[in-house]
Amino acid sequence: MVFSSLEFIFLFLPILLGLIYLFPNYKKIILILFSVLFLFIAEDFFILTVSFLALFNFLLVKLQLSKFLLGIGIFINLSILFIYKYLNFFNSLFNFTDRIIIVALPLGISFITFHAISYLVDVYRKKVPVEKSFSDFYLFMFMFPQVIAGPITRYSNVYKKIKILSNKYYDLGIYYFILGLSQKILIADQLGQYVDEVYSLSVNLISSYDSFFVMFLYMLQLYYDFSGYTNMAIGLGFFIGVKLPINFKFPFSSYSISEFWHRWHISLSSFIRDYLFIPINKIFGISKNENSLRYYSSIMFCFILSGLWHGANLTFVLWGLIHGALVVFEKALKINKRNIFSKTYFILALCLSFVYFRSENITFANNLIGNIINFDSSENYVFLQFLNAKFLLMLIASIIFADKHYCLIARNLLRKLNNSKIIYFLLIPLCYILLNEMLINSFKPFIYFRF
Amino acid sequence: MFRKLLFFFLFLPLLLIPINFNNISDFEKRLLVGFNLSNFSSFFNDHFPYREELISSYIFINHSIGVSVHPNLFIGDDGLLFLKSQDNITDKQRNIIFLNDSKQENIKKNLELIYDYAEKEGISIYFAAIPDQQTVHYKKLPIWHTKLNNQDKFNVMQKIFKEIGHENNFIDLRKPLIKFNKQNSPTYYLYESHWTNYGSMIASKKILNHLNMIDKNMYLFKKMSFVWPDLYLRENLLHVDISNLEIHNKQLLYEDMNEKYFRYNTKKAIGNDNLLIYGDSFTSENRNFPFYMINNFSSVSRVSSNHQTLSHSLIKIFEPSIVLICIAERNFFEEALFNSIKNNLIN
Repeated sequence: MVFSSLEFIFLFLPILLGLIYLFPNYKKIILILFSVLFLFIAEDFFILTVSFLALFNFLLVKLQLSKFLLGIGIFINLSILFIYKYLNFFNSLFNFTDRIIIVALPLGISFITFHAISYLVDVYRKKVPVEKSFSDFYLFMFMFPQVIAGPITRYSNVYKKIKILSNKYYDLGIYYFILGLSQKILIADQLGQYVDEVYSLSVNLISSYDSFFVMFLYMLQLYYDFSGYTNMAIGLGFFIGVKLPINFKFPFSSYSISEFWHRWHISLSSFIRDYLFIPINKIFGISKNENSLRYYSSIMFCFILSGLWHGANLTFVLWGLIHGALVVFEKALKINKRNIFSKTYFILALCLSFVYFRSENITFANNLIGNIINFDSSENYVFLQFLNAKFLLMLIASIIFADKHYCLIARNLLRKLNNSKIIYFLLIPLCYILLNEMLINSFKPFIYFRF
Repeated sequence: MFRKLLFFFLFLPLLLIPINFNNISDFEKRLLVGFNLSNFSSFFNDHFPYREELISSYIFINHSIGVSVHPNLFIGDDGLLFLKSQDNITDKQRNIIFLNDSKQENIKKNLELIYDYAEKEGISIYFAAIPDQQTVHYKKLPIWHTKLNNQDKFNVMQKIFKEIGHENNFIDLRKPLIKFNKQNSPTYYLYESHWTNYGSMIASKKILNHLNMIDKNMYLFKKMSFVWPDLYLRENLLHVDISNLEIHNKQLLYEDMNEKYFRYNTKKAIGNDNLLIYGDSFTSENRNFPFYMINNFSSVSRVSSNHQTLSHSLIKIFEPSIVLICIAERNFFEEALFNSIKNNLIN
């Protein structure tokens, strides 16, 4: 069940909110039950595995968390992640057993283990107190808005709000939810039709034009898909009284890959910074921004692991490697100018690197990039099929709303409309369009569910 | 106050939603998903209140600005709606050779075995390729689409049948359906992929002529009117009125989970042969296809190729003297079709 599905919006959510309204004193229990139900619908009895994991982490910190116990805790959490996510991958690389290993990747495993690790480390660092209530801890681990595709929530950011669960921000919740739903349904899914069509072809049948267009359009699709999901999650968080972290700050306004990672999937990049990059530098005595091989190596290492976190495939490893190399390149040459050249470099580097992120294998990605300059590749022009008013409108909207400047103008306009109550008249056609798009394209899983 | 409003706007309408549990819809040619907890999402989507009205109105709005609402559909000239077929779009551009030599050889081998079987059982088997909507309305394909009338495909198949000595057993329905396709009496729908009742009748005439039979049918034509929300699903077209047709016997011979299969006949019939039509949705009783043949045969039956395989046991149940295999072009020109028919008949 995804947030943009009919059964979520017209059954799950209204029943949940109705029960909370009718029984406000049992809000926490209702939320836990619905979070368990949500994960059960998505992944059946995987909920039992992660419930044991939650219990293990909850009990571990009760034992005066030493460095050794912290290490054990992180190891157990990462082992679960490894078994579910990477066992098949490493077996295919190193072939350590001939037996077929069938371990299905459960949704949200990457996020759940990161939640647990952040809790262990923050308690060890004495940033947060040891949680006494298992129900509060359980809710932190599996709260349905953030359990499947983030944002990665740190215990230190939410534990106080989980205790109170005050929901004074319904209007903000509605705003974020509809914004996210619109991003997903009206933009990401529309662009996704073109992207999927191109990527479904054999690479030698993809024309130069399509190879060129698809790398830009996939970047936009990915942004609106993931940012839309996050906004829906934030909106749901407001409904239940928990403020989830913002995950995107206009990433395409960046002028370098380094800046991009301060604006894109912020909850992940800050998690890697705080729980991996800084500790590594501390262990090896590397000072911040020093111009040394050690420092650049630690950057590369973190980006490669970040790539691997996104998926158990060499394409993701290479994608992480490329981003790491670009960040090192920018830091070494101190590229921080904000002009048309740096913007062009940034957009091209970003879109080309994400070809590896989207492709099934490295050969496909290499050939697709090769197609861009090979004008004899194919005369099969997929983009011509999408030259219609609706697609072009969505494409223009996606470019405008990706830009900080135009988006702020639109937001101010929206605020004025909100004050004049015209917004309610605009919401009716918007909801009509959203509902129909959901009815027609009944199921399109979010891209980030794979990670 | 806001909580109360939210409650009333979200929760109460939910209790009042009139979910439709009917699994049959005029709107789509499939059965809607039945109630099943493991596939609840599809069930809820298929039975969402006022689903047909909502989608229909949405299609209307989108179509009027030249936009196809479904990724599997595309819009051609004059607003015609086509089913997307990747092969048809790019066959020529991709330089893909249609049915290469080895595929043709395999089809020949399978056809020879099928006709050996037919001879042994004393039946005649005819194949009719039903052209796709894109082939018939090829002039209306959009600018980016290769405007092919697929003459080559049909010619290649004709050649294969000729080489195995059964030239007469392949019926090319493409030519008459294109020839009689006029603006005010289209043989195919403009907004969906099937032939109209008129097109179905043109095809039946061609088949009867091919079998050296004279079409004895006299049908009336009348204009049927549909109103919104059917506007973009069906059109105001010539429909064939078969109300003067007298069916004297309708005998249930076989049924599966999806359909019941009958044998029809009339007292006026002039033929002695039992005809079994094995075909996809084009040939269904809803499109009158079996009824256009009924006066020329002792009996006519039709079995759906979507739900049944043409097996030896099926032949024994229906005991036909003529089998007419009618498959849509998009599935007909496949090596696998002939292989599957051969396997099911012989094994």
